Amino acid sequence: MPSSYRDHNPLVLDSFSGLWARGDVDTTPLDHFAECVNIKFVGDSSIETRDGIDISQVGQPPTPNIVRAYNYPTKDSNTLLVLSIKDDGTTGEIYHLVDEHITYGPILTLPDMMDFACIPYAGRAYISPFKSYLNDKGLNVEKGLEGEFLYVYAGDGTAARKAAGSQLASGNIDIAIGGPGHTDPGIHIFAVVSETISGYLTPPALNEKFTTEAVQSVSFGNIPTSGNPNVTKRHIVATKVIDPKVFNGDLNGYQFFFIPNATIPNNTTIFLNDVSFFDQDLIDDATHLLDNYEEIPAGAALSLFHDRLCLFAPFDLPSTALISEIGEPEAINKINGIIAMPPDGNPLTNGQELRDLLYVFKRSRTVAFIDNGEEPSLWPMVSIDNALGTCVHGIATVLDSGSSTVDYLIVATFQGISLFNGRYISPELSWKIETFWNALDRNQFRRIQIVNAPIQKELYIVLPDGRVLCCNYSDGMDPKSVCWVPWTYVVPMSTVAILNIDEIILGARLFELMLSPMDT
Amino acid sequence: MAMNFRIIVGTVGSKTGMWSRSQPTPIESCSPYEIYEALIIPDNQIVVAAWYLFDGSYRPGNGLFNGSINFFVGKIELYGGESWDGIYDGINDLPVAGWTPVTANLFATVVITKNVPSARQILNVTTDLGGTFIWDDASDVNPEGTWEVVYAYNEVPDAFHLLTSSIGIDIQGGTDLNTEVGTIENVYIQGTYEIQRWTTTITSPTEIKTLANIDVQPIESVVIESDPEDPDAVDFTQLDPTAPITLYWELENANIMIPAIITITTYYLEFIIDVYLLRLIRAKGKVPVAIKLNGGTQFEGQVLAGTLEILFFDGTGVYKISSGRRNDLIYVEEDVTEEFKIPDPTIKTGYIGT
Repeated sequence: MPSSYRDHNPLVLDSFSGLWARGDVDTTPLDHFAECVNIKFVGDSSIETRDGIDISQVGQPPTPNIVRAYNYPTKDSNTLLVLSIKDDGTTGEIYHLVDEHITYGPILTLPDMMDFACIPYAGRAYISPFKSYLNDKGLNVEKGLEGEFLYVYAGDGTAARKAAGSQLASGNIDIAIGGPGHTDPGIHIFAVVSETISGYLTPPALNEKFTTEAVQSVSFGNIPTSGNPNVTKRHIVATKVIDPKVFNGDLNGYQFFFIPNATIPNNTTIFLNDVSFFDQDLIDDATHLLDNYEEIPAGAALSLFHDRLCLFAPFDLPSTALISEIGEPEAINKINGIIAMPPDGNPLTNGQELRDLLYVFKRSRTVAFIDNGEEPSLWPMVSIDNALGTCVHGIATVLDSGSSTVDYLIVATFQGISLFNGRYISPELSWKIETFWNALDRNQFRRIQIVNAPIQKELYIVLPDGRVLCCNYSDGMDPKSVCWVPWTYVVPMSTVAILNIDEIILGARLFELMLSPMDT
Repeated sequence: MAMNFRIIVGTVGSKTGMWSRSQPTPIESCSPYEIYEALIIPDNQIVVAAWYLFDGSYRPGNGLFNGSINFFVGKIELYGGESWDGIYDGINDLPVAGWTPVTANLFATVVITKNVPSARQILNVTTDLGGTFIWDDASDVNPEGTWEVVYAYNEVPDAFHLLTSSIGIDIQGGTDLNTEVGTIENVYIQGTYEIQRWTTTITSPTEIKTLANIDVQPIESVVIESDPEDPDAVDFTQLDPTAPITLYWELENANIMIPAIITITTYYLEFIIDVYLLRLIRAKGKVPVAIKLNGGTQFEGQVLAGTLEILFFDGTGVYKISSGRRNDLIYVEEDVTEEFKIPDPTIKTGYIGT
């Protein structure tokens, strides 16, 4: 056989680098494909049919019409939370898939819950229902579900409940001199704080003035119990001694502190006797609880930053984020727990910690907030990019948290899939498939969800049309080395999650529901 | 894809109804026959008779007409919309069924010939299948004349039944209707619905395979074969690949709705059937559909190509990627799974040349 035909040299195609969808099809490099679908890359020079999918629920009815799935690490296992849309197309139900044989739920059922944000914290899951709203320009914008709230799920199959809670509403505590003990004598104001099972502390309530004596303790009686079944403790809080000459009678106008050991470890006992303390023992401030949300409005995204829960885009304040106290995810101060980007009609879409900064995104804008040790409302904002941002599920999830891997984020922008290390690295990771990416419906970017599977060295990106875009980065995570291929299924995929290190979960829904009135 | 539509009401089929008097008590009623006389129905026109015969004499209104007038749909016009590629020619009757409009209004020309105050009491027009239309201008005090009225719907009518069972319309009058007041003409329903598309492929006349593509994931299909022993069975030699072929759907179970607009394109060895779904219906299980080919063959008439079982399944759920798995295992029903071929793994290189 001749080595070449006349004027033609044989070509050897021994390298397959995936889809090339950039510019004219005739410019496709020889080691790329002008078209490809449902293949996977094996080594540098081989391809084969993509792996099939298997069912993830065995011996039980499958949870239908999956819209969203999140990895949910409980105290003892990796599990899933999934949102299913009921047949009526207007009601969302969240289920807890413990393993392939056990499903709890629905743990939360809400009308109009088209999507939800979720963040695990201390074995619990914080859940925020949201949906897309059409703005006056016909664009979908995602905001917390109107009139709805942040929920917390304990992970045990019991129904999710509203996060935070109300202070004790009524009653009067009886205060008397107790047995021998010690206090700083003088006027104190005492109050009661309830603590829920998730550690949330309600604002002080039932304030009472009482004058203590130097060598006597204080006893409390007739302490009301809470009607909230999630209350597990009640604390007595107190002010330091108030000079009677300046006391103005305002029982709410003084700083409260938790009294050490003045805790009733249940919601049944109505007395607490012989409490001794000195003013110098009053260190743990309780005053800030007065300004906390008792019901936290729902938002479109949740994140953690410096052990604070961050909730983005509540319905009424879509350009703001609510930031909790450190270590108290349900304690969000209505005054100084708020950070905001300049309102421009576009809600916040996402937020993520990276290198000790909180990066906050809109659909086409990115800023950073710096935790300067002050309250969140005093954190300075730094503009990062005024053209690129992301969507509500547009930051790649790494294992069990939507977060960075190896000091960078993988972010879906209108430009493409980009690496972000404090700035968007150019060219974008999806440079080779720019035409493909630009053909996606921007108004449906809320459906994009990304998972990074470092073991497989692959990204899985659920696209608005139900396909899954796979990016293999075995040869390096840079625009030239990655290999792209779309995958299709006989059912449209709507969500992706990663479980147990390298198990890729896909959720499927009916297209019909994508056209439902709820799903604008 | 959003499409606009218009259903033109065609031939009048039958009419039944009853006037009942609600005031004063006791309730008086008349027979359907009397109502029949009260309604004069020329082609495509409804005459609203606002009186009824009771006890040998015509009685004034104070009653409601609770009857129905059945129409057969003359045609459905499609117009507007985006990405519509002319599959439907807008002339012939459209084989459409089972869709539910996103929006719909009933339009009509009402000609009021009697200028009586009571004529305003044409209050409601309701389909006997749930659609209720309300004439917003019904309160006009002096209504003689011709009125183009729009009845806004407050319940979505089901077009499948409108088409296959005819349109049933109830004219609901109000008080003091005591004479024939006029006609309603040019009745049509117009609105918008959603279309999705999937494609089936016939690889040979006696073996029909359907392939779901990405646009139609919720629907899978199965292979059927025409009965070779059937003397009417169609075979390849009978088919003219250059001529258009009409394909008919016949449901064995009319209660299950197959929403589709279909067209067929022939190639030498392959017949492409494009099926435009008008909003997916969440039917489940296998739905037998008789496939008939008409025309485009060397003979006249119609032959049964076979029975296609379309498997409507709710394949939604939670899945996991399984390394090394060669098929996709899909939930088909609550306790049933089915293996599906991985949809056409494909590669295509760019231009190779020197």
